[in-house]
Amino acid sequence: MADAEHYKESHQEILEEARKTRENLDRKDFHLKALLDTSRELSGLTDPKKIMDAFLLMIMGTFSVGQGYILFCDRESKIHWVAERGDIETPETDWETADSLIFRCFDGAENKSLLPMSISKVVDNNIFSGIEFPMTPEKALFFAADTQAMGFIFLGPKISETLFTEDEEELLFTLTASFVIYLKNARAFTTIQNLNKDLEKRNIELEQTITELTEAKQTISVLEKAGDRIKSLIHHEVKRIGQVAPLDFALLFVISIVLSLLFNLTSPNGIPVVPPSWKRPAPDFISVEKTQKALKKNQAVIVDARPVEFYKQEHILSAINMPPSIFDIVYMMKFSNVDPDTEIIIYGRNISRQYDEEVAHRLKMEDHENVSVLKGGIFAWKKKGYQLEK
Amino acid sequence: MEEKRISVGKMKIFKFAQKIVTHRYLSLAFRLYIAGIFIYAAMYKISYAGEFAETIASYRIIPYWSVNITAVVMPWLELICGLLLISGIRAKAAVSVIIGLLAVFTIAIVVNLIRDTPIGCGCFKSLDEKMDWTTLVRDLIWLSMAIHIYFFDTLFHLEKKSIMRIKDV
Repeated sequence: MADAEHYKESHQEILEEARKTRENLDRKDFHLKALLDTSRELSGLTDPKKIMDAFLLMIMGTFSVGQGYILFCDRESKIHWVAERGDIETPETDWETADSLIFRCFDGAENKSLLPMSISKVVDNNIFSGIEFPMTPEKALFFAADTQAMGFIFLGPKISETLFTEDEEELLFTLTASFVIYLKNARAFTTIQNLNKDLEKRNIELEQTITELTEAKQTISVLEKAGDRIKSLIHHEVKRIGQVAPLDFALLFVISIVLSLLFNLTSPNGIPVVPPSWKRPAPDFISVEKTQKALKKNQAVIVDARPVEFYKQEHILSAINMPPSIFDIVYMMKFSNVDPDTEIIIYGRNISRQYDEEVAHRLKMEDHENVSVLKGGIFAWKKKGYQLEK
Repeated sequence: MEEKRISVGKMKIFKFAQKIVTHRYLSLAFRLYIAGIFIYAAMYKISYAGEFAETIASYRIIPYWSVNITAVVMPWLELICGLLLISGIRAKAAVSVIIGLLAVFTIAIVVNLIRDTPIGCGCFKSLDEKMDWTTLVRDLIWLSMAIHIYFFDTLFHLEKKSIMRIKDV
């Protein structure tokens, strides 16, 4: 009987031992499952905010917690992310507030370490003294991804209103360690992305610089060509200064002609460029013989229209000198009383001037109708051997 | 020996004379003088084209239909050539034209001296003294000066200076 009793007790102990072992195995299994699920949930994420949201959801489910809050700060670039769940309403957290909360948590941490991947329990319950924070954490962990990136996790009381067991705390640490690794990876990913962006930007800048350099090279090449052209032109001009080019003569003459004609056109002393005799009818001509006869009978007045110097050299006997330049004076003095019907014979022309035609025209303008020009002039007169006066 | 010394002395004198005659400053002086004469002569002729036309006609060389146009254009050609010569712009071309004009004037004077035409040369004003052989000599001197300018003038050319300045730049 005693043996049976002893056997029964022993059996009971073994059963109890087996139950505990099973419970232990179940817990380990649960832990491993939770760790596996966490890894699976977080593995595809690269955004810290999404990682934090997913992780918070995981651990709140795992530990049956009603409230959760995670804050993660990147002190290097002064960026922070917040994830919150449950019945809490935290105001908009600015960088200063976030930094202050991180400092308070670090101050209340059990192990004040900023080593990469370190996790520490926050043991000081007065970390929020003096400020208003919308939840009282049942469990608080401070973590550092590296010396510049750190944060904390707050979990509210369990829904079952029981305390966290040692196993659960251990699981929370393990899961948090995994979470920190993913955060660190995400940060590294962000850094790589930023580096890539920077690299891309630099590439664009480099491409732009290369384009600018190419353009500058082309400009330099064009300028060099222009420089060479100018140099050759200058060289040519220097050489040309010592020489006479037909173009120079052409320019000189053209400029002179244009300026002179313009000036002559506008000047009060301008002269007709085309001989006026071209526009008048031809005068009447009289032969040397007829002139001789008319003069002999005193039936005509003979006029020498050449300039006075030529008149003084030699002229037909009894000729009156009346060149066009002093026509008005001589006419007044010697012809004002002459009968308009009196025959007037004029001579005096050379290759360069038709003085006789000019004077004949002006006499006609003075109403002398019987005006004629000696054909052949003084040369024909001389040829015939008629008398001249010197 | 004595003869050789005299010969060397003569050579030195000849070289010195050559240096003086072909000197650039002499040419510059000629250039300023000839350019001044042409500018001065042109001014009166431009203002009184009619009088100048009579002067040209009195030479009895060119046909009557070309007298007036010559009287209008020639003074301007003289003025422009004078200005270009004095400033040293296209000086070679300007002095070439001046040489041509002086040659024509000289021929005209010679022809009329032979004809014994009783006229003034009309070089500056229409009421000049009657031309004689000294007028021809004066024109020949001017012609020689112009030829000297053509061959030896290189100083103070505005055009050359500008080009050199550009070249320096």
